[in-house]
Amino acid sequence: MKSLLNLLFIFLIMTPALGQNYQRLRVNMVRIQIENRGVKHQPTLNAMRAVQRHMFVPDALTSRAYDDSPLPIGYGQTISQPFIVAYMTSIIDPKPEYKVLEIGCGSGYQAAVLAEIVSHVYTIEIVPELGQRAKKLLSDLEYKNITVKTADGYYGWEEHGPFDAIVVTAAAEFIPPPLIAQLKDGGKMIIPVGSPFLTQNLILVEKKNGKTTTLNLMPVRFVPFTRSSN
Amino acid sequence: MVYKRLYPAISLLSVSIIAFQLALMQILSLIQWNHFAYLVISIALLGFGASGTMLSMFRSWFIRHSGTMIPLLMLLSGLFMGLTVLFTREFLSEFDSYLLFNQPGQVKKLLHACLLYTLPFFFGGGALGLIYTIHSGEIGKLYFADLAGSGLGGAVFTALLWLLFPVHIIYMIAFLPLVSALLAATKSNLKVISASVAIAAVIMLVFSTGKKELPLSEFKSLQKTLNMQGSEILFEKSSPYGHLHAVSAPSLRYAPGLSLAWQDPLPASIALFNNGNWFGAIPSGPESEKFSYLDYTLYAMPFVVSSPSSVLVLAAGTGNLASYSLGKGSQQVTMVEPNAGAIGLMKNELAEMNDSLLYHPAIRLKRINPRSYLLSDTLQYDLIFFPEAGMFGGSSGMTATEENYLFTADAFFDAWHRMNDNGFLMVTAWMDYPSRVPLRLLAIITGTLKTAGIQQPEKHLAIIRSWGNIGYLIKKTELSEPEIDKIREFCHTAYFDPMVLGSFKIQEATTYNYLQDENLSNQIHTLISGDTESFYSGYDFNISPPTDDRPFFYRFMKPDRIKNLLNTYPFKDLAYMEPGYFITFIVFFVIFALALALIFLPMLFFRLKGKGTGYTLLYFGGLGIGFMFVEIVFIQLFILYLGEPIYSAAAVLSGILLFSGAGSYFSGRKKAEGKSLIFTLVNIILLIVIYAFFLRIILAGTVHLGMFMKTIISFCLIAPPSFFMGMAFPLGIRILSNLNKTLIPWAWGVNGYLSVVSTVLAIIISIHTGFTIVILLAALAYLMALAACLMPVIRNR
Repeated sequence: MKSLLNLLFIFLIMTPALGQNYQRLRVNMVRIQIENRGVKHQPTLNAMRAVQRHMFVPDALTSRAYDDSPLPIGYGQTISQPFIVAYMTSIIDPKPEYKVLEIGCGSGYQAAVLAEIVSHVYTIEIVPELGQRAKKLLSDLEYKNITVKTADGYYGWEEHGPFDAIVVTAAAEFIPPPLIAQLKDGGKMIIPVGSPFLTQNLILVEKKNGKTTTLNLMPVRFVPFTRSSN
Repeated sequence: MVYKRLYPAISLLSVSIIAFQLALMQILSLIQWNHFAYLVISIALLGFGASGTMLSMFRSWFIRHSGTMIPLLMLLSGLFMGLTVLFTREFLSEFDSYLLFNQPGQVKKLLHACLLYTLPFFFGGGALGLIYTIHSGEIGKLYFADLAGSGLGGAVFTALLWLLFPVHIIYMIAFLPLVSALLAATKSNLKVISASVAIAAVIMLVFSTGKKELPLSEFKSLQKTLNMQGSEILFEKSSPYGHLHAVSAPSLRYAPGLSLAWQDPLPASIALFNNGNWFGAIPSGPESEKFSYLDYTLYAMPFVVSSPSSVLVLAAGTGNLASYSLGKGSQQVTMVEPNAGAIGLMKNELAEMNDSLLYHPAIRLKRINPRSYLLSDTLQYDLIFFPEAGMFGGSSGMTATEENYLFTADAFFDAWHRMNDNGFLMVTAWMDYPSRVPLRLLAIITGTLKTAGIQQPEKHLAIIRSWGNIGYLIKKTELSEPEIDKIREFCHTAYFDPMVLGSFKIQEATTYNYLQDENLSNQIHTLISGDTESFYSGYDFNISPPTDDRPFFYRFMKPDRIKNLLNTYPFKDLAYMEPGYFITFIVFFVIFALALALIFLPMLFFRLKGKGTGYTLLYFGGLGIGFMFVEIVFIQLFILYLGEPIYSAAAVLSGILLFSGAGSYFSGRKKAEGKSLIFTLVNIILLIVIYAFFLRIILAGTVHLGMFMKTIISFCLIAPPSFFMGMAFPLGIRILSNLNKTLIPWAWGVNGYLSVVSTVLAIIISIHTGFTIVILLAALAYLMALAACLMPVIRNR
């Protein structure tokens, strides 16, 4: 009995402490890994501070949730490095009224970050197990402005389109024509090209006056790391 | 006196050991990556070396109990072979070579797997070693039984691969050592051994009837496709060329580098994977429509400027480019594809889905390695397609240490001679950053043009770029103005951007696909008309053209620049830029540590009495290094000659085993004296040096001959050095036993240790310096052994 009480006591003491630790880890993550590398988009920084990244990684990797690296989430998929999530979010310059389509829901983390900023996020996952897991988690975390479906991202989500922005987190060797069709004129689509652990080149697709252009952004793993004066 | 049943016992054990080694290579190539092929050679040598150490340490005990230990060791070898699949499932399910740099614990898992895979070789080697120790007087016949079994094992395994999957072959061959154990049992222990064999057989049967799936790396293309909703394996087929899977999924589409101007839907495809890696796609839908998307890819460029009648498609895969060429009106399309297993699938099970492409009257199918085809072909073509270079997202670095004889300066020069006077050559590459693949490819192309005497390569070149890939069209004569205008118009239609169009003076600036900086344009300019040598040496990555002597297209790391690169990129980024390169070093250190622990360190427990540890180290160390360096380089050199790695490995391994065995047998007739050693070593050194300079010339001069003749020539070439190399070890042991018997375990250990380490070391040196240097280093290693022989104590024997 005494040991049970001791355990309960430790649990009660530790739970808020863990929460505070994660909060501190998030603040540090944003400051060191994101702001110092040049992302200044305030809504993105706020969203990255708010979303509990440790909830989106497998239990065995919770302690590494705020590391400066991608982590495997099973099925050959990864949760992207925090900086990549922030950079991709900031580059589409999301606004509160935006309707955003995400292709490749994975853990659901990118969708959660976007949902902190925009009006609604539609996200599609092709691996059924991952899609169901993300749907449940996002529902548990009370994200009411995210809709998840398990389907082939190739077709986009025509009934909810056109979209102000499209975030493709699982790049293919071609850019699906239906996605370009579902992008609003003036809209932006961001696609990482490369395997998660490798250098990822981000490609920004812009549609303006019916003309579609691409811009290869700097490889995101190679952005010089600037340490703060502290 | 050897009892007769021991000969078939030895042969059966050898059949199973060689077949197991080859099966393990195939399994690890499927579930992980090809790096493990040479790791398996090291593991086998490690097991044998460790068993030698064990026998040396407890020699008298093993001799006393040999009647029981010989069959028992055979039994254990078979048992652990049978349990390999179980071990792989249990211990490699959490391992992924892709995560080696991200999760340090993965190295420990690799170490565990290596140790477990060593066990069948350890016990098998122990049984053979014990037999040789006891019956040393009849070593010749016993060694022949061993070699005959080894040769048969390779042939049997290769044949079985057409019928069974490697996993099933392992379950089957694992029973052979059990039969050996029964044959080797004596009258006094037959009952005990029979009971033990029965128990082992039951254990193996229990584990072989359970779950059979192996843990495929989550990062392999096959596993990623199988994760898709509705995916289904349509066919599975085993062949010596690899394990083939044909997979369908409603969401599977294939249109690499498709233009953003393409508006229509893309057809779903069936995908073919070889050893879990992407092999090709077969789109579904009406024949007239399913390849029309290719009009909006870089591959359309040659058809925009010409109507090629004869087309050569190298490494044709599932034949998409062949189908496309036929659709564009080509009269004859030669498809060169070495994978006989895939061809069999496309001719039979998948024939309907690919519209019986391989039966089309205009298709000329050549089942041969594309490079070997270029070497032996005499026809000329209007258009030659090379396969795509690099991989989407720059992930080709996983293959950094794999030989690729198609992307070498020599291969492109051969292709140049196969082009008609107005012919074209088309090749594309995925872009990466910092640029490596597109630059190295251009370095090969401009090098070829310059070797062909072209003063202004840009006049023969059109280079255009999409959002993700880059295409090079090379014309034998200069591109004409109308051709340039057509390409320009094509670029406008398909949202592509020209970079070189018969000149550097492109009228239009980038219109559709903007790059992060101007580097690529400047680098292309320099490679075509600048000081290329300065550029090669100044660039942080090795982008100089690979050659047949150093055919490692995807190895870009320069060891002397790694320190410099680490100032810009954290180690993890650098490692993932070229994982194959760094994994080779990890494998080397794992093998180094295991060999140290299992072979070398136990030897230190022996009290080495008397003088001679130094010359023993020099002599037997030199033999270990030299032998393995020659073997690994021979395997590489004969790939080009015989057309396939599997044929080369079979010919070289069995040739070396056979002729070195003959040498070993013959050495018994020579006097155990210093003169014999010196004679043998001088012959080896002379032959190696001659081969270093002339072997390639002989192979190139006879590559056009038929397979039968080439096999005979291969054996004739392998025989002389192998014969003398086989003499050096037993002669050395005999002399050492006269000089100082206590040093024999030390000699055994040094030789075993350096043989194990040299297997991976040969690969590491090859990728940096080329095969010629490695073979000359082999001569140097034998020279080291010769130096030991010239010491007075040996010379005067």
